[in-house]
Amino acid sequence: MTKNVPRRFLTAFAATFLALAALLAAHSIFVDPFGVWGTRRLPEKGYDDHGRVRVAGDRIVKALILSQDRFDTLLVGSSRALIGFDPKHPTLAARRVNNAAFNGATNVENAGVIDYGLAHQSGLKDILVGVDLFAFERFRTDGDYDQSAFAGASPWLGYAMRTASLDALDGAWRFWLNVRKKTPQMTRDGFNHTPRKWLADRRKIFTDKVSGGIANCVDHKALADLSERNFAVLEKAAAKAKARGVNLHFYVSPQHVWAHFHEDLMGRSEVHERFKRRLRVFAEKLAGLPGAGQVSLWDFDGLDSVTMEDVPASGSKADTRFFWEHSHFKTATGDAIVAAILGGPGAVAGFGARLDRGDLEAQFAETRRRLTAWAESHPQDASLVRRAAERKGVCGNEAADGEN
Amino acid sequence: MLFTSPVFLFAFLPITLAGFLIALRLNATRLIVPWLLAASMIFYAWWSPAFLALLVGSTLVNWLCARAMETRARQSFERKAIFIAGLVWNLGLLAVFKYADFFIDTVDRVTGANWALLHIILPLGISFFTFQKIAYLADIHAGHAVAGRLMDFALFVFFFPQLIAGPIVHHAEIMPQLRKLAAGHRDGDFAEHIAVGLSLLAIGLFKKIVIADQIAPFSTSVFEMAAGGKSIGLALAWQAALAYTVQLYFDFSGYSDMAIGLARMFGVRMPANFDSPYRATSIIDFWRRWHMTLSRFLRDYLYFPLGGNRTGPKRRYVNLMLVMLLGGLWHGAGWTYVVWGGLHGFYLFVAHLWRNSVGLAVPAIVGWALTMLAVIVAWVFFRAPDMGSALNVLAGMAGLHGGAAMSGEQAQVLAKIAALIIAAAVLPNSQQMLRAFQPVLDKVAEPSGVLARLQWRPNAGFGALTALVFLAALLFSWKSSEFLYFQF
Repeated sequence: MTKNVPRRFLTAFAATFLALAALLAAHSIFVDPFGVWGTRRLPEKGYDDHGRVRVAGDRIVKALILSQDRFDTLLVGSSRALIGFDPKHPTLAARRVNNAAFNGATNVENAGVIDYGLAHQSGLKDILVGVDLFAFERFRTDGDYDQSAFAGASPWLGYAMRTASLDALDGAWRFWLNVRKKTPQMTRDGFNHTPRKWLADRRKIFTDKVSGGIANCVDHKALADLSERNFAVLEKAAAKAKARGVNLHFYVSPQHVWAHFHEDLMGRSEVHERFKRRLRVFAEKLAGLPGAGQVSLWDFDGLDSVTMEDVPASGSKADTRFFWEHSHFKTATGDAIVAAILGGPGAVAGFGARLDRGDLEAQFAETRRRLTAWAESHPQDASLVRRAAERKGVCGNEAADGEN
Repeated sequence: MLFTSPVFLFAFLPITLAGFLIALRLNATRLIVPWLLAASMIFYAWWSPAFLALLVGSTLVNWLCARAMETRARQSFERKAIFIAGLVWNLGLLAVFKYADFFIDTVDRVTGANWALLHIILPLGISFFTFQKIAYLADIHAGHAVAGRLMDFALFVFFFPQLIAGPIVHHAEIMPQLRKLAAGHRDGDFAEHIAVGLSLLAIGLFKKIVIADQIAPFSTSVFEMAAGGKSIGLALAWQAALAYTVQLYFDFSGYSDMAIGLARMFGVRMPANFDSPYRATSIIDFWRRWHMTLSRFLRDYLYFPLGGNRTGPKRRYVNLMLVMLLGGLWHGAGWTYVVWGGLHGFYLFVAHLWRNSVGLAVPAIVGWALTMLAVIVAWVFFRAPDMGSALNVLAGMAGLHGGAAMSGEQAQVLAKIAALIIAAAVLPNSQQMLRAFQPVLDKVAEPSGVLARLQWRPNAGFGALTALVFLAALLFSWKSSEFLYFQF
């Protein structure tokens, strides 16, 4: 073999690699599917207005957005917060709001977002934090969080990962399809859109979702330990916010009565109640810490006209107003939460209660009574949920759905 | 630092290679060993600077033991005592860092003692570099090797391509190559070394990221369900076992390809670690092809010292079982690994007994199917987080939990997994594709049939193809773990 043959290999390797990488980067910047460059050249269309949904790569992108733009209100939480709030709600529209919620967000991540928001947003006034039990039943990060600036990774790594990666290619491809009304994309305030095709048979969606997942067996002692470690992390971040004069509004996300019944069948109603009692202790302690920031704690997870909304019959063209399925609420519910916490239109009478005030045990007793009454008045729905729970099995009376 | 990470591929590797090539170009070859040693230390410290101190200290102790042994007479008591002290030091570190909690947990379970676990963090690569140091000390004790310079020995231990997960290299095959480099001997054209190394790196990245990582969820999800106490049905259990069979091979052999390729970029040839193990037609054949450098170590430094097959058939089988049980335990501090090793010990016992007593040759396809079945069953123990999960999945595979029906999607998954197993068995492996350029120290078997034509060449066409494979792997490596929840 002549000596220059391997050199031709190396030259061809370098030229091909650089050319393809440059082409990919140029395409990603032109389409800007994640909105990180602000160079989008394609129109957004084909979305339904009243729903929101995430796309992949949210943690990396949201950290980039939070470091680039200025906001005064931050929404933190899981996919429930991600898809449940509407930036067009008058109260939110009057503010500069960033939706920094993620799919399956863990409490460690939520605390990280609060920290990061405080470090990069000097004008923050309010933070709404969705506190979901499942987020306290794990002590870890998820998705691409560890590669995001939230976790201390270089933002340049984030830019690179959203410009020359399979996600970038996939996102750009989806964006091209989106011109033909196919798929959702992320916007620069962290809110997302839901495509019309997802607005299908509501009962089927409820049934599929409640039947999905598996029993997640975590023993009682482990759960308590996880919970305490999580509260410690959240307290540290929240104390900083309070000291900075930022108002903190914690709320337990609403779940549909199907979810309540399912959790009760899995022996988890007491776990939820214990969690809420612990939340109250947390909020009381936080309120006593130094700082001008106000602390409030809300519970939207009772049983009322919102969470006990009927699921339409199978094949019916009617749709729910408040819930996508048993776990995720629609923007009408998000509006009611915003109205209760920050004020403005959209409030629903009887929906939500202050968890840091009032008689908790009476609230719990009322919820249990309403659940029993619902099961009796909705035998078909109750039977369907019961079958779903039985399929999953119960582990030592401490089963979790594992959903988010 | 991981081979698949951007900081390794776009910063560490180019800088280290550039420094090395500059030293070569300027004939400043005495800088090569210090340069590579410093780079390798940074590579290790990237994960944990504290453990770098441990590795440096351990390397120094081993080298001092080696030097001390050299100055004593071959059969002297002192020489033996130093050797034993070195062994105790190395195995002691391994015992403390890897097995302390396993021991405590076992005692707790058996006696109900309730000792607190120590939760010691396992230093990266400790299982690998401990074996390499033991081999070094054993050979010097036996008079088969010389201690050499501290710097050379340190680079042998630290050399970043093999530091974390092997291949488990032998000092006799690596240190002379490093010494030659430092002395200015150029073994071949470095453009060719880099071309071969880059190609192996690209193949390894592709195997690890595009195949193994993408297949992993099909196994992980099921083993998690099993660990959660859910009974696993027939189709799901086989999906999990087969997916893990594919994942493990492409993951580990991909990593080995990367290690061999990276070393080759610096002109160092490594021993082969895999030789298409899923092509094996007997369990004996499988162990000649799977994690070959571990098999070699266990044979030379455990099986032979125990007496090997020179002490009669009964003792031989006992030795074999002991080696496989310890080999299992070496992989991980857990009883599932011991069972995995024990199962393979039993397989080998049966295979040797069959060969020596019955002697009837089975058709290759039958041998292959039986071997794969045995290997797949054993992988279940290797993968499962506990014995209960392993037995759950195995009961599922035996059809004891029902669940034979599968969806169209599941059938597609199984078809893909089966295709990958067949590809692993039939296609030439990376060493065979590059065999004209001696990618490894071992002699590479020639592939047979039409597939023998799949030969790599360091020309422009293969350069462009390698770039495509490399880029594809990179695109996948940055893909975040999908967590699409809200999909109707």
